[in-house]
Amino acid sequence: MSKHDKQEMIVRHKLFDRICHWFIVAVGLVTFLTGFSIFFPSFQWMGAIAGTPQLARFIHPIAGLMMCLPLMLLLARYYHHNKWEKNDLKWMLAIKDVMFENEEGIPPIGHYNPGQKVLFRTFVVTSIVLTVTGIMMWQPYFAPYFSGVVVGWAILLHAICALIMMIFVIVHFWMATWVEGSVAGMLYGKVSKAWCRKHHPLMLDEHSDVEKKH
Amino acid sequence: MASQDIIRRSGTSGMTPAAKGRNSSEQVAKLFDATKCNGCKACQVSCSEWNDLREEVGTFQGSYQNPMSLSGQCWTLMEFHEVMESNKLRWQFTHSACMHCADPACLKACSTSGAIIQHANGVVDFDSDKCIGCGYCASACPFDVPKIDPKDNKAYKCTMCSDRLAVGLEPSCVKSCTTGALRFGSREDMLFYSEKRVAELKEKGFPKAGLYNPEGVGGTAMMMILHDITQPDSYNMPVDPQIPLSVTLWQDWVKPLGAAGLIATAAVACLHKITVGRNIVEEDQPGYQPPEEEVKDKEEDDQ
Amino acid sequence: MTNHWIDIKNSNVIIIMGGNAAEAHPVGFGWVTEAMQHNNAKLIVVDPRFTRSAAVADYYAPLRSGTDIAFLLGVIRYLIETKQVNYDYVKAYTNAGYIVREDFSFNEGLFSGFNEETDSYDKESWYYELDEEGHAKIDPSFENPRCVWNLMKQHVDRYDFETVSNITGTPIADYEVVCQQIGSTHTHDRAATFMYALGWTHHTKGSQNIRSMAMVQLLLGNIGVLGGGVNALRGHSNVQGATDMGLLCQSLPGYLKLPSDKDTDLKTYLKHNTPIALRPDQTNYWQNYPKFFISQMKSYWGDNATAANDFGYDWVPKWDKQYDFTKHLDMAYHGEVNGYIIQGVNAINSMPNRNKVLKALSNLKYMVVLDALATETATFWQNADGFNEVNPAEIMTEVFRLPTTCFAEEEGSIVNSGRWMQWHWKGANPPGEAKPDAEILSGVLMEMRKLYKQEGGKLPEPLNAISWDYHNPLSPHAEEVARELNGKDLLTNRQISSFAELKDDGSTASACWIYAGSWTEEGNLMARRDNHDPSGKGVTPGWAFAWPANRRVLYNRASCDLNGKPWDPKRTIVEWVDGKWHGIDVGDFNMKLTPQQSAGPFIMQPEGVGRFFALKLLAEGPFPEHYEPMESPIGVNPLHKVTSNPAVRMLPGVKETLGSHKDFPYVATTYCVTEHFNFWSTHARLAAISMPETFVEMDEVLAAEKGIANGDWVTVSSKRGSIQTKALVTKRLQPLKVNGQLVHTVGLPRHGSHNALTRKSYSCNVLTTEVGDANTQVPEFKAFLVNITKAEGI
Ligand SMILES: Nc1nc2c(c(=O)[nH]1)N[C@H]1C(S)=C(S)[C@@H](COP(=O)(O)OP(=O)(O)OC[C@H]3O[C@@H](n4cnc5c(=O)[nH]c(N)nc54)[C@H](O)[C@@H]3O)O[C@H]1N2
Ligand SMILES: Nc1nc2c(c(=O)[nH]1)N[C@H]1C(S)=C(S)[C@@H](COP(=O)(O)OP(=O)(O)OC[C@H]3O[C@@H](n4cnc5c(=O)[nH]c(N)nc54)[C@H](O)[C@@H]3O)O[C@H]1N2
Ligand code: HEM
Ligand code: HEM
Ligand code: SF4
Ligand code: SF4
Ligand code: SF4
Ligand code: SF4
Ligand SMILES: [Mo]
Repeated sequence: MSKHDKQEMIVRHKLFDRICHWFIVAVGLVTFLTGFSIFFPSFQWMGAIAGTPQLARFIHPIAGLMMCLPLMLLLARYYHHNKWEKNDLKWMLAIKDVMFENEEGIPPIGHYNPGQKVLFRTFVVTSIVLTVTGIMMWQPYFAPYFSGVVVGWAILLHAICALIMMIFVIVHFWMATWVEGSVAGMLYGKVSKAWCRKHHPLMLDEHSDVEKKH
Repeated sequence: MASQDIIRRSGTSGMTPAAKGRNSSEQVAKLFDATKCNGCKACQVSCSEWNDLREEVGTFQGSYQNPMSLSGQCWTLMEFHEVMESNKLRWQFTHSACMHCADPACLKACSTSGAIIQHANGVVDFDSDKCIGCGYCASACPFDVPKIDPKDNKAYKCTMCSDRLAVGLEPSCVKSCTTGALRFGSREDMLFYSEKRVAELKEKGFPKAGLYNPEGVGGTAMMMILHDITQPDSYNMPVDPQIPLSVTLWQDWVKPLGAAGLIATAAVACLHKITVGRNIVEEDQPGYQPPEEEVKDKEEDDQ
Repeated sequence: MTNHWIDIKNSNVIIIMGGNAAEAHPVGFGWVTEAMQHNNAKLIVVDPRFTRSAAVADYYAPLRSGTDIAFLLGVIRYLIETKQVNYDYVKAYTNAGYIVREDFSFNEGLFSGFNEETDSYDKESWYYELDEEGHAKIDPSFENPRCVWNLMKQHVDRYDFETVSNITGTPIADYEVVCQQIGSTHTHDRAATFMYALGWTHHTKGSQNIRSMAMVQLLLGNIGVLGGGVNALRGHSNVQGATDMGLLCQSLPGYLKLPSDKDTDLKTYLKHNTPIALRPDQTNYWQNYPKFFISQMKSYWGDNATAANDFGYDWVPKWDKQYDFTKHLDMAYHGEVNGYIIQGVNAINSMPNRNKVLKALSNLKYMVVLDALATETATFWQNADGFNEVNPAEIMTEVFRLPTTCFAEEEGSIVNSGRWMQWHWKGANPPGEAKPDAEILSGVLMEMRKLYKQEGGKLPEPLNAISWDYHNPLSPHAEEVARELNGKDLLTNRQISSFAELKDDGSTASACWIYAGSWTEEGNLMARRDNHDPSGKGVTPGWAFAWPANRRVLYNRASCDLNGKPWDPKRTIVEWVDGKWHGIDVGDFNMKLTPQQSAGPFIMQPEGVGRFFALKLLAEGPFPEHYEPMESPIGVNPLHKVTSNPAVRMLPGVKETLGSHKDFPYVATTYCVTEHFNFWSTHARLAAISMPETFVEMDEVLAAEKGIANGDWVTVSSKRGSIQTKALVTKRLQPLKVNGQLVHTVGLPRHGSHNALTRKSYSCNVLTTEVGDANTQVPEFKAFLVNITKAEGI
């Protein structure tokens, strides 16, 4: 048997981060659905996961907070992976090759590709804005402390950010399920070296650097 | 029967219109004549009496006004303002309550189907059973009227006593007004009366008297006769109330565009999935046999 | 009121002075806005504070509390000077031409007859010159220097604009506008009405405040006409009824007099109280006094009243001195009273000088409280930290609380300010053990009779003689009482239809002669609800019953000239056409007489005319004169050496409780706000919500001087006590320039309670003085001195 039968696995997501991520996914589902049910009256049924529209309304901000806080935690932990690097621009210019899997045209990148980094940054910004505006518009606890005009703009911003986040989550979901092996990585923590070589070649260097240090 | 005179519902698009079957319903209006009011608060108290509202007993806040603002338990409030005008004091009393806008910002802002409705007679009413207490109406209203009651987390405001109107009675506040400062009738009659009254006031030494019936919200079913129409702010009324820009942007632009964005993204994703297909690391597939040179390279690497 | 609420809509100028109708009578105030809108009336408000009435007024003039007489005498001077006088009226219907006794005089603030030693007046000289027949002498040309007109002119001559402004603090410009507006109603086709209440009565010269206004109205010819009159806005619900029924300590129902010690028998008593006409052929309606009184006796004692026993006259209590509440509380304070029955009054809150009242109540052996609520009075013995500092262990007064119903829980009539007796029906059953007052008192009477029978006792006769002829003697029905008040012919047993039917021979009974006609053989006229107003002038004869005789406008004969032709055809009440009287109202005269015979419209006066010169009726003199309040912020009377009212009754020890402007520099006045009714409404949740706490109002200058911000806690103190409350700093109060100094007024609403649904508050009566009007003894609640300092919260 060749060595390739025994896949060599390396850690990509630590347990804590995985728990965070899937917690976010679970709570996020509630947040999105309830938020969506408020957003589009015709989709009030989406809030039915909470039972009644009133409950959906009640749960949404709580779920939103429960989602955004660990998300920000996760973002803090992954911050160092998401710095802009010199190859990233080239990768971005080759986005067409990325999407159509023309592997030869894709410049090698590290732990995360620039697409993920854009996503990451969007999550950073939207989650902060959603949290701040969400709190400002939260009746009956916080909203009364702000003027109607301010709350009005907060609602608008909240809606815009929620949309952006949702669009990016769709993209994120699409990419995660497209690039097979990454969901497993997020589930079990490890990815194969081959997977790395294919998607994040430079990450292997980082990995060996780390190992050497040990 | 009640629902047949609903001409507008919140959270309802033009594609599922509210009933328009009846067109006999006459537009009504409540008229507050600020030049006659003596600030007795009978209206305020009778509103609570009729509607069974009991605000908490508060504390003295530096004026005769109490409570300090509208709330779920206070649907109309007499406001007290000391206004100095060319060295003369005007102690201004404002009967503050829902203005029943023809083009209500609250209704526009409310995303919950049927939580806010507008009746054919012009009355804007809340259906508390449906309300989810998001407070969008409260922030959108240019008159700062609807309030969320923390007790049940629902929005409340003056209903124009629609229960009384339904049986041919005038609103409770109007009924108990001591000076005739509050009147009620068909919108047409109230406009006719106002015109006369304003002319009268002009003759009596109030050249700037006028009717407050702001255009920006399409006119209101609660109108006010003011001594000085050029200064609505001295009555604590907005000079040019409008549906806030944030509400328009959000309801008319962000929502449809956002919906389109979501659908488009999902569509592209599906299309991509169908066309480009799976992105697999072949090496990791079970039964994968690497080409020779690759194996060699790899072994070298490992060394 | 000589007129009535709706009649205000007929006024051309409405002066709210000495009252605050928008706040204290907000519903009646609707007729003011009605007049303003539909009769083009001008509204003037004269008040130390810019009130809610002032907020809707055309003109507002501030004045220093307690200076209305100066203000109004200045108006009189202005009217005479500018000839804005209704001369026709004054000549025909007033005593302007009457000649006053030679020995009457006014000098340096005192009228003739003042005895410096006893501090009291001998009023002998305050009278007309009489001719041989006992009739007053008249000079119709007003030339006689001793006629009322000239004496009055001379009296008011001192009150020029500068003097008035110097006393009242009213800026001259404002004053002039008020004078002009008032003056504009001297013509026949215009009328003014003054709406007043406590702002005039709560002074040591309250009665004279009102007299000054009445003099203005006579000068302008505004009495007896639509839209005019002298209109007291009555306070408590049914206080008018209570007054009609002999509320005052020296009254009997129907404004009859309670006999005094000097009235040793019926004959003497009747002689004292039955006037003789002072002019030939005058109606002199009080000449019927014996008929009213004897009918009342027949009603009280029934068959027990006979000619032989002077109709039970001996059983009627006689007074030796005036037992008004101030005097009585003073007696309790000095331990001279055993017990009180306190019925429908929250004495410890509403009476002046709370600390003294507390002591007085603590001295009692027992106290029975008939009230619907647990008032501060009923719980005076309970400690309430800060608000009622007492040690219950030291108070020996035994308190019994008997819960009563309130008006909505019983049937009966309420008389409003316009003298309308309006029947009302029961709206709800009383809660718990509450009983109507009549039932409680009947129970007490029956029990006393029983005990007297069993155990005997002093003076059983009156107790046994009372006629208590009710279906259920333990619970007289309102209808039975109402019929009794109206009265009946004892021979035929028919309800009388008018007091004209009353006799002095014991053949008629009527408990309150002015109510005769309210419940006749036709039934209960008070229950009528026909609001037809055929003339459009607000005269609705089919609505309820207005005493006397369903008359809506008193003295209405004065609305026509001597020949019965209305002064103003647009304001016709009665008129003489084709040899007969016609009218929209019941004439206030014998309508069978010709105009010439009935030309004395003021039929209750023995001379038939309105009086500029009040004869001996008032304690401090026949003309009003400005005196400072007992506690004066300037300490002197700018006019003369008599600072305050010389006729005031000063009980021993009270002088020491008065403060000086040196220690207490600010004028305090107390009043009501719309949101509360006296003290009881603090138990009503909606009222408590709309005004949860009391406060003290002050001007911005004073606040700045004292470093007080809006909403700060302050201590307000007088010589008699101090309270803590929150400051309301407002533009509605302004310092006034008086006698060369700035006078600040502070205002205290009178609704402070500590046992209700509002925030616990002090009663302003911790601060007030019991010294009162020289005639009525109503305390000077409206002008006393205080000091103010910033304080810590409570
Ligand atoms: N809402 C309400 N209505 C009430 C009552 C209540 O408690 N609340 N009480 C009822 C009763 S019992 C009564 S007797 C009546 C009282 O009715 P009002 O007499 O109208 O009431 P007050 O508020 O006592 O006083 C009226 C005004 O007199 C002013 N004033 C004080 N001093 C002077 C002065 O020297 N000259 C002049 N010109 N004005 C002065 C005060 O500033 C005040 O605004 O109201 C009755 N109606
Ligand atoms: N400083 C200051 N003091 C004032 C005044 C002021 O202006 N300034 N105003 C004065 C004036 S004008 C007045 S009228 C007084 C008012 O003083 P109060 O008469 O003492 O005041 P209320 O609170 O009206 O008290 C009436 C009581 O009668 C009770 N009651 C109601 N209905 C019934 C009934 O059917 N039967 C019986 N037995 N009881 C009943 C109520 O519960 C209430 O406790 O205050 C006076 N005190
Ligand atoms: C800290 C996090 C969040 C808080 C406190 C919060 C709070 C709120 C509040 C108060 C509302 C108004 C309705 C309501 O009270 O339920 C709201 C609406 C909404 N939220 Fe959130 N939210 C948060 C996060 C999110 C997230 C993460 C999303 C989705 C990406 C989201 C999407 C929405 C949407 C779509 C609406 C409806 C907005 C509209 O109708 O315009 N929210 N949110
Ligand atoms: C709905 C199902 C979701 C799936 C299947 C999924 C899957 C994944 C996978 C496979 C990864 C690892 C990517 C990699 O290793 O390169 C990942 C990373 C991540 N996911 Fe998700 N995810 C989901 C939803 C979400 C949501 C709702 C959020 C938050 C809004 C989120 C935030 C993140 C973040 C922040 C990372 C780290 C990526 C980075 O640092 O660039 N995920 N997700
Ligand atoms: S005033 Fe405010 S609450 Fe009333 S209808 Fe207009 S927008 Fe709605
Ligand atoms: S609070 Fe209620 S009424 Fe107001 S916008 Fe939200 S759902 Fe509509
Ligand atoms: S119309 Fe009815 S609900 Fe509205 S303020 Fe008046 S009493 Fe209150
Ligand atoms: S009841 Fe009439 S007069 Fe009184 S405060 Fe209300 S609007 Fe003004
Ligand atoms: Mo009173």
